[in-house]
Amino acid sequence: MSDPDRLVRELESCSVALLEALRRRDAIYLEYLQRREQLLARLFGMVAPNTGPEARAALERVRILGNLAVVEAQRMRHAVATDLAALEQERRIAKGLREVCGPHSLSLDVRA
Amino acid sequence: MSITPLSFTGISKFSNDFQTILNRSVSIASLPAKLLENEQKSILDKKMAVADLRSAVSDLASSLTQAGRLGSGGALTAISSSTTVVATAGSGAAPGSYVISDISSLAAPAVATSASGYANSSTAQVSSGDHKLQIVAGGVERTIDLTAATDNLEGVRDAINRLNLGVAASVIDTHQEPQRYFLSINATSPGEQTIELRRVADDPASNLLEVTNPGSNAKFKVNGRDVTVTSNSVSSVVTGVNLELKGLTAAGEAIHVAVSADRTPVSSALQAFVDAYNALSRKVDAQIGKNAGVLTGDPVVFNISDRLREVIGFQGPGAFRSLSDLGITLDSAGVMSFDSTAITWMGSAELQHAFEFLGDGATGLSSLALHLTALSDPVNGFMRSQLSSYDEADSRLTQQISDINARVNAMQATMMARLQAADTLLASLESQQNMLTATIDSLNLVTNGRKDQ
Repeated sequence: MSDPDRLVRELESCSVALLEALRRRDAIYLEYLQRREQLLARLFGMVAPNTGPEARAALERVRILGNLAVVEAQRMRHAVATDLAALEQERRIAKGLREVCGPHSLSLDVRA
Repeated sequence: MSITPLSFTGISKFSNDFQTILNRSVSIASLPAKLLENEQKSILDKKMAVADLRSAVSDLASSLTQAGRLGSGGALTAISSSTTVVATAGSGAAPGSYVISDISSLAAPAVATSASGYANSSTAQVSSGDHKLQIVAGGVERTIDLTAATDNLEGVRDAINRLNLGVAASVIDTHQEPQRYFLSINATSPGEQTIELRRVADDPASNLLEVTNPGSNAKFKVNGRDVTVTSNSVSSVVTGVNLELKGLTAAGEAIHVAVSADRTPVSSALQAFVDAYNALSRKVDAQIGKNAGVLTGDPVVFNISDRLREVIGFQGPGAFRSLSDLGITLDSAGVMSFDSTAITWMGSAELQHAFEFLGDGATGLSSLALHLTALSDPVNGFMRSQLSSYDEADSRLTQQISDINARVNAMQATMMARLQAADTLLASLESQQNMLTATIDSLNLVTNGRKDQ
């Protein structure tokens, strides 16, 4: 097996690990992300016209895995937006406080 | 604690979205704090309004109290026919007239000075050698123990002053050599008295001093009766009246002191009462009705309104039944006015009726000051407790605002970290996918002459 072929396979397994880590929301994804970047950089200068069909197919799988990783990252962003929606609860608390502290509220009535 | 806005510095194409998320979240989380801040301002406005009312209530109470003092004292003033005697009427004075005559002596303090001078005030010995002297002042004899170092004029002076015998000692420098220094001892209050400084105890013959002024009592006659007192300010002869003797009378001279009611302070007090009433009434009106202020519906306003109605509806127990008998009227708008001529033209009997109406602080119109003070008292008054409740609410809100802001800051920091992580991940993946796509495209181009396979 040639060096580029080995590199492509290693890149494929790294992409799989990255995707799984992202799905688990495991911080180890940072290591896989960094490793994937290094492998891609090395591969960029090594691919040649005689690259075998298996390696080409593997590269295509790596790209698909990358797209899936992007989708997962967007889901993470969506999770933050979901938390934002949860802040609506704060808004309801604010409304409640306004009622409690209003001009005729019991909390400010010295006779209460 | 305030909220510090964080600025998102993202690197992916989603950065603007991230900043929007962050701003929106901080804005929502800050809502409760903003609402509470509005409530705080409302409380502050109420506090200022109550404090303003309390001051006006206090002014009205003071004016009634002052009217009560006039009522109990009869607004008496004392007038003297001569500047030789200045008369002042005070508490307990009664109307009447008095003749002051035969002021033969004014009170003066006794003064004695050493018969001989001394060449030096700090070294020349005063005692006969035993460093002991005896002072006689105010009918009291005291031994002065000196030392070799203090047996001199200055040492004797200091020792006498430490005894607190009602005399003050000092050293006089005549600048007449050779014996330029003398010891002077004077009584601190007027009146006849003996002052001696003896070298030998109980031996008047050894007295070092000679009398400069023996001191004197004030001697005069009140309504033909002899009076002898030790001061020129005499308040113990005519009850409630102080007589200040300024000089001697000529032979046969008689000074007339008349104590009688004065209408001017009565008019002034009633005008002050009317002004204070109108000031308070205006402030209360501003809190009632369609355009009422921040205290609309507040029990403080109702309480004060009740007290004001009590004032204008007060009925006197005697011949004067209402404020109108004093020349005080209320127009249709509720504004009080005072016609001072009503007081000016009152006879003595009517003036007494007026004093009776005003009362003495415990009775009459002036007794209503107690009801007003119950509202305005700075320690125990109803309005004070109202202000305290505002203070408590204010500090409670301050704490809540601080807590909310702290929570928002923490939330903001956490969200910022999460957004940064997501943004970095997306940017890296975008870069990697671009690189990968470029690699594959390059391969396809070399192999097939086109990018897509």
